[in-house]
Amino acid sequence: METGYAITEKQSRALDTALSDLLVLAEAESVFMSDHGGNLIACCSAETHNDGLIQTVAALAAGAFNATRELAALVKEPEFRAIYHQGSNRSIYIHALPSDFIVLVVFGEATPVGLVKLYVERTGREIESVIRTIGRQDAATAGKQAVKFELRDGDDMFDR
Amino acid sequence: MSFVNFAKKEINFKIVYYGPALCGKTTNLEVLHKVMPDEARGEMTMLSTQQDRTLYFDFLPLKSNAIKGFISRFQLYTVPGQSIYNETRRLVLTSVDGIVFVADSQWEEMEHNAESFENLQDNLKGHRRKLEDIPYILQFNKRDLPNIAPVEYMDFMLNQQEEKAAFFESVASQCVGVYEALNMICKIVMAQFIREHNMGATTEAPNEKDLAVKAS
Ligand SMILES: Nc1nc2c(ncn2[C@@H]2O[C@H](COP(=O)(O)OP(=O)(O)OP(=O)(O)O)[C@@H](O)[C@H]2O)c(=O)[nH]1
Ligand SMILES: [Mg+2]
Repeated sequence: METGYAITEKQSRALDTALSDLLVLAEAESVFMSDHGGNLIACCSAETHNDGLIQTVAALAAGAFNATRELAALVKEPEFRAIYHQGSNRSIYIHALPSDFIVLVVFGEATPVGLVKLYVERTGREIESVIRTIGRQDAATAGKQAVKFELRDGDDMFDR
Repeated sequence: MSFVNFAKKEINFKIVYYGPALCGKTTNLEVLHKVMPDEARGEMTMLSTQQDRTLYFDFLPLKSNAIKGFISRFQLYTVPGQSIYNETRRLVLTSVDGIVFVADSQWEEMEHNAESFENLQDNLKGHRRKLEDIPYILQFNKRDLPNIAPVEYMDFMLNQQEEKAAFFESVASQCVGVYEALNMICKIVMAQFIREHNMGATTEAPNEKDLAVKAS
């Protein structure tokens, strides 16, 4: 969508619920959802992360996913769906969702990757219709008739 | 492409610093990270080679309250300037909302500036987008060096589009002109966002029941 897209409060709650279920069922430490451009859409974690870290995870997840998908295309693999990084203490699983969204799961050594994979795919199916709607929905639609965006006074955008 | 989160009252924008190798894109972000107030900036991440050359991208998240009632997040990215990294340059442009084209003012870099500007347009085509439709500004960097081209010359060379872009002179390594350029691109990006979105502000919203499906 050329002019961007938006998410309503209700859709945001639905995604939060889905991600927190995923966190528990997949025995994960953190779950992040972002789009291909690197925007964070939703996240859920057993521990609290600072805001900067969450934004960075979303940006890097999208970067890693885009780069790997590009590699897959080079070796003529059109069906590329997931990346798995196995670490010694923590591992990362990134999985494609419809409408150019991705989900990233961080999990510890005690959690088998098969479990994560199983529940990520299940979550993907559950939220499919919500995220397809989000991907197609602009801010006027999501914000209902009353949204009017307005710049505040002043020339300095960051109050330096 | 902007992303509005009505639950968190946030708007996300993606700004990409583009330009030839070694023109000072990474330096722009480094300096911004230093001078921004704490509450406005996040951590800076650099994906670079051993020689400090950008390999994939640099990333710096910033926050502003310039749009009433919302937090505006500006996610700043740089691309790698070295010509071998064109695929990654194209990937970083995914969903871009605004571009700062950083040119190196030294005479011997003029050809590289022109090539990079053309490369930017080619890579946007790969996303089925056009530079004319995206807010962008020009930043003529390294104005402290002795062998530099006059601003008028660079403007003539890089600012041939029908709608001329604003340009800034800068010395990124000394933080001259860097914040001004950022402030301008953010302002233009928000102005375009507001223009596009307020046009549709009277649209009837569809039934929420049709939109949301319970995730259980
Ligand atoms: N004299 C001078 N040097 C500068 C200026 N801005 C950046 N530099 C220097 O130019 C060199 C390259 O800067 P970078 O910011 O790494 O360049 P880049 O565009 O990110 O390069 P790539 O990542 O390879 O594309 C560094 O040594 C900087 O210190 C400037 O305004 N004046
Ligand atoms: Mg760099």
